Amino acid sequence: MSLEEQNKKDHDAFLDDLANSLEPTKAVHPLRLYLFWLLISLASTLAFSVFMGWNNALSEHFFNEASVLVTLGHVFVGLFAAWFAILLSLPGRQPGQNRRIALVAICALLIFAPFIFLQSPAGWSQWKLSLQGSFGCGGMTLLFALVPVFVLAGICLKLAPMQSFWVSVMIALAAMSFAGLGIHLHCRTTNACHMAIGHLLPVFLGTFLISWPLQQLMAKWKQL
Amino acid sequence: MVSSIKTDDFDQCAGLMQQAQNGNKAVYRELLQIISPYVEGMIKKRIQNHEAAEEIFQTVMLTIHRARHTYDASRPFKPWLFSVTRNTIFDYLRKHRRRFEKEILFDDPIQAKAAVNTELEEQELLQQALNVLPGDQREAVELIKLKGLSIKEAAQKVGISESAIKVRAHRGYQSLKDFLLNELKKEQA
Repeated sequence: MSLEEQNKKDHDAFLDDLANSLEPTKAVHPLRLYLFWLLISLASTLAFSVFMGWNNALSEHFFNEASVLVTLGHVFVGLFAAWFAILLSLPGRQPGQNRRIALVAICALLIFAPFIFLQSPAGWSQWKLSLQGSFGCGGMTLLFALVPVFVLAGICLKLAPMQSFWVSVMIALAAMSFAGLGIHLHCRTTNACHMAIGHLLPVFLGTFLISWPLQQLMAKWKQL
Repeated sequence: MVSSIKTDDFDQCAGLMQQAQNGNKAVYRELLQIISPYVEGMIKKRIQNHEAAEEIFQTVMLTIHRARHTYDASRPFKPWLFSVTRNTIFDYLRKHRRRFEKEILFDDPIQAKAAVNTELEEQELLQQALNVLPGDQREAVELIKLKGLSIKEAAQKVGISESAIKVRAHRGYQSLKDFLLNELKKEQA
């Protein structure tokens, strides 16, 4: 038997093996998965806020421009990043590179937005004061992100994440944005400085912190 | 080769994949047979090495098998297949970067052939230069530079002191350098 014939035989045998190991699969519904993540994340955030101490002065957030802007930013980035993470795990449906970069850029822009409200010298003088509480809020934001990260990572791993880097960045960004939203339910401070350092900055830092190990996990998972 | 599947075939693939998702093994086997040339074509465009191409082919087909549940029958089949194949190839290449560095660089077969020819010419020239060296110098250069032995190991093998082998090797490098420079001058002239 020639080498070419042998190769063809091996080739066919491999395809036969694959076909013989076929099992029926359930169709994937990305929207359902997305809503499932949203529901779980909302429930966990609410539960965690109640457990850690509910913000009794929540209405103050709605009368503060910086606070409203930050909240809207979190909602926007969280919702889009989660949807992108799911789409990136579906071959043939991945959003283009430009859209992904745009989302991260918009998120980066949102972090500077509250500074617009700090133009008065009085606002800048509050830096030191706002730093103290910011570390607590930053740490808390990471805790808030745990459940959304695990659930979204689980969903994406069940699909077929092709680009580990982007999927993990989007998962981390979505979970951290959601966590940033959750911190508003817990933290009373509406000071723009505090929100920039304690609520928005951790979203970015946490994204870097979480996405790296997540990327390693995704790469390992694909090898299994 | 990549375009060997017509649009109609891809339309047909969508239906076949839907049946495969329901567990129809015969249809799945047919689907794999249809998409194989497309996948092979995409791989061969990037990899010339036959064994490596076969390895990547199996990895891609396994990925397609594992990711089959993510295909939505209401969507076109080609982007799904393209995305899985392309990403799996790139993942594989990234993992074995060193091994495939040359093949990625020389995607064009003419360029690849030229690179191989240059490498062969360089090897030939080096062999000529080594042959010109006196026996003891050649031995020292071969042991240290080509076989990768340490000074100590090379000295032990030849049965002389470490400083003596260093001197022999150094003289050898000088002679090699002179020979190669002369060759270069001749070529330029």
